[in-house]
Amino acid sequence: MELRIVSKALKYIVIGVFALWTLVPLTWIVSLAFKSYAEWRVSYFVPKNPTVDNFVLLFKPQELLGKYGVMGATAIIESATKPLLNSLVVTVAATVLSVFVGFFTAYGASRYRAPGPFTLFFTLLTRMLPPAIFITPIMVYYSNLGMLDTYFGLVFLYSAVTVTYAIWILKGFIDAIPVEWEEAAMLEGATPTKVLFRVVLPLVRPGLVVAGLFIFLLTWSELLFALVLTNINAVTLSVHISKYVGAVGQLFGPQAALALIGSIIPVVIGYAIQKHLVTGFTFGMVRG
Amino acid sequence: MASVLSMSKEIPRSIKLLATLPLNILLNAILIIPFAIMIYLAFLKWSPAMGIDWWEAPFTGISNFIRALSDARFINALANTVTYTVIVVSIEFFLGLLLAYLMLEEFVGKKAILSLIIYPLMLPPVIVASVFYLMFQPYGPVNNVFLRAVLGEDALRITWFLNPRLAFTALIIADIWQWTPFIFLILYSALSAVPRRLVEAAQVLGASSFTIFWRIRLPLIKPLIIVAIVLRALEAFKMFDYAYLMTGGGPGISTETISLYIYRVSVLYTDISYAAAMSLIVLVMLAIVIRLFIWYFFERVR
Amino acid sequence: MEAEVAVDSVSKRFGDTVAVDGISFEVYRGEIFTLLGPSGCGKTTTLRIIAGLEKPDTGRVYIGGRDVTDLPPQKRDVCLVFQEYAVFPHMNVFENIAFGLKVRRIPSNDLRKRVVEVAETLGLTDYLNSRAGRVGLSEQQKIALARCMVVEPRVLLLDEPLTLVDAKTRERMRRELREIQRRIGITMLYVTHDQLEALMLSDRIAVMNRGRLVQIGTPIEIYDNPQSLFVAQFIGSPTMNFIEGVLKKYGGNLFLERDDFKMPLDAIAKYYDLEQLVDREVVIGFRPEDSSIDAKGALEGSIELIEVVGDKLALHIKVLKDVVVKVYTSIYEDVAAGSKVRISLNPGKVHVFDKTSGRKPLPIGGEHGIP
Repeated sequence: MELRIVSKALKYIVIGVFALWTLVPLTWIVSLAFKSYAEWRVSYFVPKNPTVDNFVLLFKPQELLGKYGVMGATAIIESATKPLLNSLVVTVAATVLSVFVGFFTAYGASRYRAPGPFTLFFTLLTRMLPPAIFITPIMVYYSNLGMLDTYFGLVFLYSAVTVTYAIWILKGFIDAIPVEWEEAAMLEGATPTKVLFRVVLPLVRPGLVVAGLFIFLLTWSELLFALVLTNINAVTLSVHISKYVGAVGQLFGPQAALALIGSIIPVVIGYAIQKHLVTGFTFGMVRG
Repeated sequence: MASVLSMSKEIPRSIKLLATLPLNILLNAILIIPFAIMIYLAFLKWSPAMGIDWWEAPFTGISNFIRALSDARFINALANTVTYTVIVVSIEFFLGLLLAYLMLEEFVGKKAILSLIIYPLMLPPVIVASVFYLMFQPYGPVNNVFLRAVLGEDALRITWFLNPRLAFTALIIADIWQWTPFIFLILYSALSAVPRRLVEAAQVLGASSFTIFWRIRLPLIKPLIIVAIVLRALEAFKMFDYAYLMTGGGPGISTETISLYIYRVSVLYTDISYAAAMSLIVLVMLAIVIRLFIWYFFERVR
Repeated sequence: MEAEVAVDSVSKRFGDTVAVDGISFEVYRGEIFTLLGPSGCGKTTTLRIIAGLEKPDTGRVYIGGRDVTDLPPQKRDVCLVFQEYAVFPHMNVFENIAFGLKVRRIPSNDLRKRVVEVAETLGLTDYLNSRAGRVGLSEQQKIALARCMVVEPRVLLLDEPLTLVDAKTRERMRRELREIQRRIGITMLYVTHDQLEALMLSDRIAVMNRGRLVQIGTPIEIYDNPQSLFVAQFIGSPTMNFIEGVLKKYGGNLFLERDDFKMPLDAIAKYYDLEQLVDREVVIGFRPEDSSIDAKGALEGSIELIEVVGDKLALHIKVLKDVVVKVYTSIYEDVAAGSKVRISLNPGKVHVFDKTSGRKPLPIGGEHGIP
């Protein structure tokens, strides 16, 4: 009998430790984000004089220039507003494009085997290879086409690399719809495209949402391509965040504040599709 | 599962167009053409600094490739990346499996804990890198709270990013923090999906919950274990964000991963054709590994 | 004789539904005891509670004299054969059967011997190396059985093991099961909704309905003396004939009155105390084989349909305006559809039930079969 109690207690302890381990970074960031300049380098968790200055600093750097004087020693003087907006625009656009291309492709793949299995495998391959491999030629390519530092360039690139997820997730959803429904509609005289838009599309709406949110999550987080391909105009939030890390002047407070702000949207989306995370990450191989 | 419409074996033209054209445009324009360019670039000697366009650059045959294979820094980056991948995937698999096992039974607050555990997965890796950069600062919680308990005041003097081993460890810790839940989720979903009847059958035959886990559930999810490990390994191999942000590849090049090195060569040193050659080498290596893997696991079916 | 299994006032509910409602019974060593009832009556839940897969809300379970209510299935010395068999698909047949022994750390020589023995008994020897998930259904059922048998539990629990099998195989397996049980002498607790199966297989039957135990007895007792309307309706193939009416007393004599018809019940009054039912709605039941064509019979009707059943005729006779009863008669009887006949009932085999409560009135002397 005692062995049972001991092993049960052990189990809860391990789970508890893991839960704590997950929470510690979050708590530290929250605490740092609200600490004033004087406290950025202290080791205790609870700020003595909590302040929202760090958040303000992110968006209106000039305002607190005098107050901190620290800004003179740092390389960061841009506000976070533009990167934030850029990320939103680019991510939404890329997601929409990716999902729609993915939807059409998935339908063809599910019902007619077109594109064939080879193409589908190829799309899988695009996710298996390190993105770093592609940056070299794409840099050159974009530079020649004048697509560097543009929304356009980023959107297309992001769509191309995430369309795989859309295809596989949506294919799963489409496969689950009985073919007979489409056949019935066609017997009543509907053209194939009409069937696609009027019958299938409404039915896979949850799939579109799952694929969309998942791809949004991935694209929002992307760093490498954005680093390479953007400069001033299309700078994304990820790039902006990266500027704070190890920056001259070490703005720990704002760095933490930015981390918090940058996590809001992904975390909200993540919890919204909690049940489907597994499906997404494994290209639909495992149902969540 | 429905696949092909029985009515028309022939695919309607409109659908065919929709289903293949956009994808083709997208992939071709964005990936395939650059890919072709990359192959071409690898055989040239070119850098934007030379002042000429790349299609005017001179041919140098395979000298870039030879240079890469004898480049100590390239080998170092590969070695770092492989070591990193192996360590990280092993630890995450072990921890993920352990956690999945522990979470199989119901208990109070399980739903809440489940939600908590998966939250690191949702964060952008940039942010995780940023967070752990802060965590590993001399006055950060890692030194102050945890190590202080073990090492006393000395703990405060540990500078994680100035020591090669420690820097590498810091990266590993960040990765484990973020990605263990990935393996956990896949294994947990799979383990939970094992039919209840099988578990009960084992119970009435006298098996302990560990035996049931080890001899019934685990063997039945073997294919998914492979999926989890492969997917995670592929992602770990690509790692860029943590190295770039937390250690910058350093101290020196002790934590420089292959993605980071290629990035540097292309963007900082603008040695484009060399970077292209390295990219190709890595691509071929990975292709071989993936092909071997597919052959080993899928085509040896009895 | 001490009971091998004893269930005492066990109840279990799932959410708002009461699955098992205060059940108590005992199973004796070496007998085949069947829980019989329609789906949803709680028999499977009861079995699972005895196995330890469900915890009862109230009550205790005893196995071999020990109170096992708080013990998990692994510690109860029982084994359960599931309706869906649940063979381990990733192991071969040998490993499936050996599983319980492996868990008990039986040394491999001994283990091998026992597995091979049981496999032979059940005719599985040729399949030992096959993947358990790939063999046919009846083989899977045997595997599930073998798995349990080889472990030699105190009590063998079976949850409708023959439901998934086709009718012909079912007959054969029923016989085999009985044979094996007789040979080994293991205590068997069986669950089924098939009353024919229960009657054929069991030493004793417990009829359940809506979570309650309705009647316990031997197959003969249940068949000949159903204590409630429910049991009477449930048991017997073909089902019992029923005539509803009101019990009336006219001039000191008892009659079943329905519409304008009065059926004299004095012959039956010898067996039951019918006084208490006067002026109440009652149901008279009799089995086809307990009635016959008799020119002096009390019931009058016309033949609607004649069925040939083996060496008998089954006559569907319409009596009393809208009641159709089945009567067995010799195949040589000279009858034709449409002809008018009279039916007489064997008074000792007529059952009377109070329509509202479903229960039988007390017999003159003698005992109930109700627990």
